[in-house]
Amino acid sequence: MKPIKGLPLELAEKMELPRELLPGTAGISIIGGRQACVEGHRGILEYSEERIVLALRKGRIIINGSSLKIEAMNAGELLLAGRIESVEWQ
Amino acid sequence: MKKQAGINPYAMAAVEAFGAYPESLVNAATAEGIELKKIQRINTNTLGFEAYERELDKLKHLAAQCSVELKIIKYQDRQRRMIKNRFILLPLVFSLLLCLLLSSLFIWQIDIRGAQRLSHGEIMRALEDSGLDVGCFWPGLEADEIRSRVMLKVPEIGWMTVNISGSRAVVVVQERQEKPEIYDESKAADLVAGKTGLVRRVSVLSGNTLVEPGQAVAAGEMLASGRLISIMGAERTVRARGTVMADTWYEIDSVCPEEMELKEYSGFTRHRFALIFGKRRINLYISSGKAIDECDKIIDEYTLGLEGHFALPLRFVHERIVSYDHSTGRGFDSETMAAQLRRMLDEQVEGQILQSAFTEASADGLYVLTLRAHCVENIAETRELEG
Repeated sequence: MKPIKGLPLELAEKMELPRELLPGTAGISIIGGRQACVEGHRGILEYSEERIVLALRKGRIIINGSSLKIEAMNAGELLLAGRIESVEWQ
Repeated sequence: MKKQAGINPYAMAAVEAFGAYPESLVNAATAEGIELKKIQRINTNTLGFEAYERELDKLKHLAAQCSVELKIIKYQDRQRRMIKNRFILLPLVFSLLLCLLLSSLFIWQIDIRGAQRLSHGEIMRALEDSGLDVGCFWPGLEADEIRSRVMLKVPEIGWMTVNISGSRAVVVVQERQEKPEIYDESKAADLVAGKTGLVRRVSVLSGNTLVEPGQAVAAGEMLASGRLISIMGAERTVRARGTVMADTWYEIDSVCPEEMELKEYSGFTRHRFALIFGKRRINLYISSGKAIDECDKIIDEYTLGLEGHFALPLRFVHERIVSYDHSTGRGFDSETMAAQLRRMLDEQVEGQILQSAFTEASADGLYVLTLRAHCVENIAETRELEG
């Protein structure tokens, strides 16, 4: 099935469509509070060891913690490591 | 992208981006498809990260667009390092090969083959006295000279040869065969019984037959005489020859104490290691004295090298010291004793064993195993006449 662009997330949820059909949807996976993988970001807005702010297609994501560092980054994905205390969606 | 000869295409470089907003370079780079790793904040205006060397040109162009200064800190070209290390390794490899070549000019292992009655120690001592020893320079040796000297020192050797292959010397030995007894045909002799038996068949080729089938003879009794008396009364002597087949009986005992002290291994094992370089031994342990009173020492030696081709002057020694306790128990194996008795019987009988049987008995703390056998064999022996 080809990915569907422009489909609102709420509609996709109501239709119970799989996430893979909605490219560009931001998501974050946190492993053990020490590692996080962010998908669908649009770049770094702010970067420090205590706070990382990433731009999303709609809004932004704020990760608070300590000793935060970005291990790898490419156009759509970002892997960060450190002590993650909180994640905020705005 | 400018390719540089010998540069790994996956080599990374550590760079620093300095500017009012260095994150803009990171964002622009990732938007262009450039992968960045280990992005870290160095200070308020500086971000450090790693990028592929092949994308540095593109990064420089983007840095200029983002008004960020890009500085290359370090090239992490592993292949360059590998090439450099290779030049360091080459002399080491060359030295190793040279040492190997030089070591092959010396004998580090001596194998002795073909010796059955002679001990290897005796032959090795003779070889050492003749100049062939572990650690000797073999191009200076003469195989013929060594052979002559060893055969003079050890008369039991009938023939030998020394083959040198690399650092191995193979000594092949052929022991001298015992000369069979040659008797003088012209000397007169009688035939006497070598064993006590009941005569079954007499076949005398020359001489005067004195026994007949069915007659019992004792050991030493004359069976055929070498003195012949002619019709005219004159006596002449001949060498009596022939065979006298007789029934003989054997009884052989084997005695063993029923209870004896046995070794019972306690399971405690101590390991010690050593290295032998040439003739010099280097112990890899502190105390060389035997710490345990009652123990067995088992020594395994391993020679470094290629089996059958060359040996290095280094041997690894593994000693196992296994302690044991004394216990009392049955110390004999009746099957082993029976096999031993059977072997003794086979050595004594010069014919055929018709019947054999074992009997066991115990008396006064002793176990007695007896083999009784009924055989048929040639009991005739030659005894030369005196005078």
